[in-house]
Amino acid sequence: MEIAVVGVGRSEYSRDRNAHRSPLSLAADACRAALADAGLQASDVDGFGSYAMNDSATFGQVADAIGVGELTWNLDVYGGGTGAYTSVQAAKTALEHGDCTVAVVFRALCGRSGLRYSQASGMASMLSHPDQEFDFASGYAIPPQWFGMWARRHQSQYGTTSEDLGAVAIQLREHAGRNPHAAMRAPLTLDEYLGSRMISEPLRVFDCSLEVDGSCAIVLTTMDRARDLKHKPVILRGGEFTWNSGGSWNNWPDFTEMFTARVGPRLLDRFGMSPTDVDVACVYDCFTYTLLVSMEGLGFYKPGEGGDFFREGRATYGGDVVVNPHGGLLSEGYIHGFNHHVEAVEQLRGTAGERQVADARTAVVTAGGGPYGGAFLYEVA
Amino acid sequence: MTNLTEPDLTAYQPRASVLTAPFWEGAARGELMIARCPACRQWQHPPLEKCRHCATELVAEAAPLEGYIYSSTVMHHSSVPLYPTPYTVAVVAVGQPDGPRVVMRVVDSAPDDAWPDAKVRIEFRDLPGGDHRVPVAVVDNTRRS
Repeated sequence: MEIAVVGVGRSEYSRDRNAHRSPLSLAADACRAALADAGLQASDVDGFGSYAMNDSATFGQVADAIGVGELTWNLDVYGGGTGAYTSVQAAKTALEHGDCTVAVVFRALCGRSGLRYSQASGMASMLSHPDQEFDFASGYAIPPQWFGMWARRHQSQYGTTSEDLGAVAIQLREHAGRNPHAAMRAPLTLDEYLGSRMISEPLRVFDCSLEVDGSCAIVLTTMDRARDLKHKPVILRGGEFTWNSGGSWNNWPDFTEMFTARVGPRLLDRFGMSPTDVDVACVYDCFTYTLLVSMEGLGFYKPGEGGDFFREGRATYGGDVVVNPHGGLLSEGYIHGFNHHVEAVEQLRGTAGERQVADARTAVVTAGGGPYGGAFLYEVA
Repeated sequence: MTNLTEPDLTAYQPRASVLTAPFWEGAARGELMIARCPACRQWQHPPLEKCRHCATELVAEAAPLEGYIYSSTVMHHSSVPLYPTPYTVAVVAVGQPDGPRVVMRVVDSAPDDAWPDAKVRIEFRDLPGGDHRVPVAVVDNTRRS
């Protein structure tokens, strides 16, 4: 049985630290918008799921807030960006098994005005790693340090430069320029990038996700039901996942890889595809480094060759594949990777407006960074 | 009266448990105590009660006070008030390049020397905001050929 995404929705993505709305309010906006987009009512929904790490709203609070009645499937996942895989994969399975018939999956956070990943105080209240007691005592506490640590190993092994990381930031910002939902749209030059504030070497401020308050949601149902709805359905063909972490952020085998080194080949083999068959890649980009190396694992280029791939225009319109046409977490905003699902669906059904990728038929969405994560293939029905 | 300019360092103090106390007590006397399996000799950090490989009860053991930088990063962002920025943090493989990995600041070393594969000595320094000491790495330039 095939499962399709039939509606997408988002709240406003806000950078205003003083305009704090609750994650529940933001989630209600996004879920209502997604149902309206699908042409469905709250009373049609019988499955509800989400994932969270910092502040959030539970599936039940949000379902109740928008007037959903009884649910027969639910999910709340605790964890990092991989949740954008786990939650959607679980909804797909639930629909295939008939545990529910219409599922809404969302992510909501006040990542700017609430608990911020960039602040150690925010992280201290979010984490439960066994490493935390040791890492914090050495001042190793916030995500840009982890990804900077991994990036330096990659630099040492493959000669990766700041210019290579900057090429990713610049390309995604250029894409965001065409996206009315993006929180940062002004073009970024290499000089501005290189002159920007260092956060944790080699990562500068423009290598880091854009903290926003916001929420987005998707509505999934079976293909049978999807055919009668408002939009052209987008099929969620399937996904692949890996966990290979060594039980801690510091013990996974090779810092120069991302999880995509495992799930990329598996995903493409399963559907008989090669990287050149992918039209749109929505690649988890909590940092430029995450994306640069995730693309290696997906097979778009060899380790260390990503900078040239971006500089030569191969990651944009008219190139090999359009990478994060919405601007990604780096320039649209950090909705913990869930906005990648929304973008993939908009592109494949042809509702992406000015940033529409011509004739887009296949999209890969990755979720996660470091040793574990997942990747999906979406396809036009 | 509370000095509002003093940062609150509570979040950075270890809350030593049965599992982690040997590490902190060792650091206080200048030893790097890491959990190790008495049967199969595998190291385990962060500590667990039992060996991942053979389920034998682990015992903390003094590890060599030297190692290799697996990777490092120089922190410039001011959001971690524990140490003045910039400071370097490394994942250090203790004893040998595939030894147990422990996160340490790199001190008394040129930042450019604190790169992957550099050999380091392990020393101990005070942890600000409390009574603990923490391991740190010092790049060992004398070993360079």
